[in-house]
Amino acid sequence: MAESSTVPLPTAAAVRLSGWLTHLGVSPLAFDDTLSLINPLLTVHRLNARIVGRQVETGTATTLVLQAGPAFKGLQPGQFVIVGVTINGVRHRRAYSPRAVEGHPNRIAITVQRQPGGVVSNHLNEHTRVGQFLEIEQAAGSFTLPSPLPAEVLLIAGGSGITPCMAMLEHLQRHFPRTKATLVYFARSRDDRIFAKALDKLAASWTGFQYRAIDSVANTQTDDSGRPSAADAGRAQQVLSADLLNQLVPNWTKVPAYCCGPTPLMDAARAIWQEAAFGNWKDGAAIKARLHLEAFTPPKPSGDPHARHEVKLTHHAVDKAFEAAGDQTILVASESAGQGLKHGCRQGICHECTCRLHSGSVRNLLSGERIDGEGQTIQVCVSVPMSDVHIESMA
Amino acid sequence: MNRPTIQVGPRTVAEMNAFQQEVDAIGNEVRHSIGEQDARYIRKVLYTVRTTELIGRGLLMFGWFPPTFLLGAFILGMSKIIENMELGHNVMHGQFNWMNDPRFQGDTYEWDGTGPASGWRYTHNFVHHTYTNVIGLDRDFGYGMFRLSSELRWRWFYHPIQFFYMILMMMLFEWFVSVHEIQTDKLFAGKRTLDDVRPQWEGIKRKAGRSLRKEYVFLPLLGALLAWPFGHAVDVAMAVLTGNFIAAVIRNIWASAIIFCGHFTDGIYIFHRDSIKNETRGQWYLRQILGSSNISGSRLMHFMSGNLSHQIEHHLFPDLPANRYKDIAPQVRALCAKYNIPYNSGSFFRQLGTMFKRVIRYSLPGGTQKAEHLEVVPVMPEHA
Repeated sequence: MAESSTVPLPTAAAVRLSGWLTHLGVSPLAFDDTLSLINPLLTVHRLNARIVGRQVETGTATTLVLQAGPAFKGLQPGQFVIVGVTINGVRHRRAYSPRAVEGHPNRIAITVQRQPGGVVSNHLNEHTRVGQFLEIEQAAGSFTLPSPLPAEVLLIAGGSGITPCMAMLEHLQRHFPRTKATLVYFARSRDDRIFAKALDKLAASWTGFQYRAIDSVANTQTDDSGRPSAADAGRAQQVLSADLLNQLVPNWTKVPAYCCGPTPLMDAARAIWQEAAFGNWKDGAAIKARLHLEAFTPPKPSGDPHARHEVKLTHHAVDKAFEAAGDQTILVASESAGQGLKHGCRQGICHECTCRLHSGSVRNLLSGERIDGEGQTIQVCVSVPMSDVHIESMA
Repeated sequence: MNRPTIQVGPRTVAEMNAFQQEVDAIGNEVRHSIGEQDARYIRKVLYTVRTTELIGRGLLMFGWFPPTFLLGAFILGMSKIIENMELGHNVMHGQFNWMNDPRFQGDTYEWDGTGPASGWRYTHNFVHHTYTNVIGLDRDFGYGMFRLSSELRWRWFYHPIQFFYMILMMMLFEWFVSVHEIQTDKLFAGKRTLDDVRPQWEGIKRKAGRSLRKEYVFLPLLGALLAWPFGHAVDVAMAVLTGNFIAAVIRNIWASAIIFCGHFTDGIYIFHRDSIKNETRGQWYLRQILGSSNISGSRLMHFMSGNLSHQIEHHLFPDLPANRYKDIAPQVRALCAKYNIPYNSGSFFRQLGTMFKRVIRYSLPGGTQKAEHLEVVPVMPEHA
């Protein structure tokens, strides 16, 4: 079922037992390892999921059906789940927006769109087989339908940004078919449109559903400079606009709107809602608040050594922030801001300054490598930020 | 710029730079090939630790019956050795941080024994590995208790018997590791106050308490519970308690012996604290080689020492996966020959013998080895 469920009794008991054993030096990870000798789905801290189904959606997207264990608490439609994959010894983590599979508790489906050069998306498309295990985390995120449900919702998706929208649509159709829903879905062509057939079927069987598929890359595809790529520039492109919205949902400023897609599409949506709010002095703030945005690609690192980036630092669940220049190590920046981080040798030998990089990109000065944050460890004494970053100190 | 005085190793600044680049190249070559094989290796080590621990503890539950008791204590001791050295030490150096697996992340790993990992990471990863064998800075050179060179002033009231308390210390090594970060000698000398060390002391109490509860309260009670129906509750509880103690002592003696063989052997160089001012990376490499000694031996020897038998390679690249040290050892050795740098390696018993010789020699006043400052060049080793 789609709603969050509580964990069954044996799982709760296992969590309690693991808590007691911690006092004897048995780490939660060791506890999980032991349980996973019986069945990897039984773990209670680091969750696993078995791939039980695999379906090619388009030439560049595959859907994986995952069976999670009893400790998985379920998901709200629109939420994301972080999936961990080990490739060449390295564990990578990526967020996907799954749909709940009806009739099976704790079964979810993720659709993975290949990213050019993407390590994880290509691996999941090529090298996953039914029966294999992936690591997953509990569902999270606030890109969810409000409660109580409104009479009407507007969904705007671009490319693989359809996945959380699809989760919401399936949920509405199954449980609240009286809701009016409108989907505007931008993709390069029908072949590239994930769920093209399923959406057609949905549109045919659900009277409250208005579906507008737009073959356009103006809002989705960009080259590195952020402009529409040259190959597509010649074609007449339909973009997201207030006119389009007026035509589809005349009262669009009054309904909750959900937009998920590439940065240009979300920027366009933000601008349209901002303009509508600006023209309305009475409830402009409410209009802006009705637009929900979900990014699914990390921001690109600027690479500009002179740019100043914001470093968000979490330490024992307390957040702090300071600024760091692109030519300054995070350690030095933290010290100039009077929030010095724990460290040792300052030259990349001793790993005393290890922090977790949750988001953003840094460059390691010793190896010259760029590290994109997905929760891995970095040495802040030899790392310079390349974008806004979020780090956590575990010390 | 500092110009290295001609004495050992690279003779000119240009040579020193070339030396640094060649050492860098050895490390970078390995760094670029890190992947699945190293991940598989450390996972295998983890499962070896888990299984041997389970078998050892299981055998001890059979009570005093000599075959199970002795084998159980021995296997548990081996498990603790592998956990502390091949798994704990190497993981806590950050050697496997690249895996992004929470089980193998250096900053959160907690090992077996009575010493908290956080304090050890500071004294070992930072202090010892950065200031290796620098008198007055590297506290692992003698632990503030042993006089291992003429640099240290001879104290009549404890140095004469240092050989004997070294044996005692080796048996209870984990306790010395756990209080090492407090720097008790400075406490006695009045250079630090009790308030300075309060946070560390709290951490030690927590960790040691947890370890003692597990080894000497919970597991014996569990053994008693299991043996209750057979009427051997007290016997089994005592056997488990004793077996756990023996296993810990086996681990302590072996770990300390390996560690002492890495830096206290004959031919080891020590350095004056002025030597590391403006030290370049090449000079740092040179100091690491001169300050460390290897143990030659079989694959089993390397495995059971957590690859600290490759102490020189470990000190050059403390955060490279330890299973790779054996691959780069021939290259490092050849490089040392090329630049005329002594590469200190010997069998376990030879290194252990010269280590004890040093301890006994310096329990008496005098001695020849001085750490003098000659730009970055260390003093000649003593051949006592």
